[in-house]
Amino acid sequence: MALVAPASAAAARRPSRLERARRWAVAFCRSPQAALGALLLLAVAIVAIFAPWLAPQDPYDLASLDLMDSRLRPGEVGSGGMYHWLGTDDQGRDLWSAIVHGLRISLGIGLGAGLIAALIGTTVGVLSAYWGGAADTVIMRVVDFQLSFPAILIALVLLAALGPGIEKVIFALVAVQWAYFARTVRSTALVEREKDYISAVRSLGIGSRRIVFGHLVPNCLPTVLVVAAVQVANAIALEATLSFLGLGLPVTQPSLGLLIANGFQHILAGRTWISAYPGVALVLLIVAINLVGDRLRDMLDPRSGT
Amino acid sequence: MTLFILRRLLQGAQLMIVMSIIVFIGVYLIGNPVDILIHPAATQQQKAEIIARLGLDRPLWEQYGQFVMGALRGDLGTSYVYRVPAFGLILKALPATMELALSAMVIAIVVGIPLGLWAGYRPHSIPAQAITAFSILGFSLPTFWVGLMLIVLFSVDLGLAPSGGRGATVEVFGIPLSILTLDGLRHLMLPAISLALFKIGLVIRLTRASMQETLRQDFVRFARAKGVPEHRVVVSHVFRNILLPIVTVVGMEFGSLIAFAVVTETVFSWPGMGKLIIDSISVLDRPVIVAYLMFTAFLFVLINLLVDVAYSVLDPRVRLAGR
Repeated sequence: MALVAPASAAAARRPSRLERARRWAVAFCRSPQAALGALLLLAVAIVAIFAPWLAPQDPYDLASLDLMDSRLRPGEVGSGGMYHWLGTDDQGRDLWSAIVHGLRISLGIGLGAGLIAALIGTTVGVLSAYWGGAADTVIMRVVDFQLSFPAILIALVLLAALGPGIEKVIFALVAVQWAYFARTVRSTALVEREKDYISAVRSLGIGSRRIVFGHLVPNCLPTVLVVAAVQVANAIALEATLSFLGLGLPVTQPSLGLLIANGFQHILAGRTWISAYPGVALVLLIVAINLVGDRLRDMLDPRSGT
Repeated sequence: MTLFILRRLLQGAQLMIVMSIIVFIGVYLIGNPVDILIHPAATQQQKAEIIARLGLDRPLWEQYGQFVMGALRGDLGTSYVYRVPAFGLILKALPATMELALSAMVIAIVVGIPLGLWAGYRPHSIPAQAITAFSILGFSLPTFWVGLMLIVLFSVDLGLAPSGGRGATVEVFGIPLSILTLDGLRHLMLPAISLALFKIGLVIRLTRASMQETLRQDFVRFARAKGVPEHRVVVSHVFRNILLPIVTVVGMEFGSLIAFAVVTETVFSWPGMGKLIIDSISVLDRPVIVAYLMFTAFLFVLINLLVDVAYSVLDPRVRLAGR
């Protein structure tokens, strides 16, 4: 790769990186649902990243809230002349602003937890497959033990013990999710380990560390990506659920789940928008990730045919 | 076979021991119940008395030893709040949760399997794509929000169903059931649907994938070549072959239904184990939390065991030597 290749047949046969990316994107969008999902995800990401500029009000700044404006219906104008197109909650907070910021928190937690869990799970899974023997047995025992209980139950116990807080929620999510990565990545790594290129690398006398991290891990990445899409969506849903139950984030950091919980008490009084709109945002976010993840699995997983 | 079951029982027992240690230590970390239970105005002496009565002054390992000895006798401590045995509280809430989880499972199977078969049979047709999209939605919708929206639609807007509680119950062999009364059924309807939705998505995807896979098999081609009518190919050749793995997976998912009932019960104030545990966590009622977790762990071990045994009985290809 470091060699300066002459503009030869080899270069002509292998399309440029950009061209390959373009072809891949075209193939990805061949499924209309996936294209829609990708578009939606892009929109949500933009909203989350630019939240402070897109929100007309800073929902954390208590000084800018006015209790006079509480529980305004969608489309009403508040005391400061602000147009609340999604209404306000019981603190007089503009719901659109709260949702935009909540989206940011939810997406951040989901990505953060998913990334850390992927790092830990992939490392453990690949090493388990590479070492084999007793270490493999012990590691997979732990994974199986954990996977025999539903994620929500484990997270519930952990958070009941740890108390609320953003870093505690992420810790609980990682503790729940690393096992899914470890299990799936291990089975991929087991297959990769037996392939010829690994024997070839080994016969060159290259050390274990480089075999694992330079060759096995990169070849397991498509699997990691597929699992990650599912797990990020799960993490977001789980965080929302835990926050709704009052076990997740503190009230000062309103994620989408907490916003929905705040509206819960108003539902029977007919003020349904306080719970409904944050929920719509949450569903859009999760659906977008799942649509993209589904397509990734179809394209990257060799077992699914097509 | 006997050896297989014995080995699995032993594994289950190991699992319970590990669980009991984790749960006990984990729950021990939860704040100090004394702060909540004792009136702030109580004197130092009163405080010490209550702590001694609850056994909170003894070292952790001694408390654990006592807990295990008690657990073996079916005594998981006395609720700090209700002042009755914690295990009894769990057992009292069990029928409501079981009724909810079973109803949700039945709904998931009855709705999910036909839709999945259809989607798998002609995967490129418009209805099949719609079904697949619906299954993704079922996967993506958070259970608690679906519950809230069902309340909005059916309780607040349409007034068709109550928003919470269990309604009238009938005792069958001493177990109160809602499903047998009209009022109870109306109360059960919304929570059961909201709990089932996630599993419907799962069943659809599973059935669809198995259907597609089985349709490619040689015996299906052979049956068609032999001139077997198409509906018979689907019903007696394909369906019969995929039913077993589906039932197995759904059986295994039953445990997760019980776990997710925590959320549904909280939304609909359904008086089951899940609502009990959430209420208990918020007031740090330690014995009830421990009792719930141990009992749920036991249920899971039991469900996994039953599913494994059923699977090995039904499918001769499963090797019992079991590694």
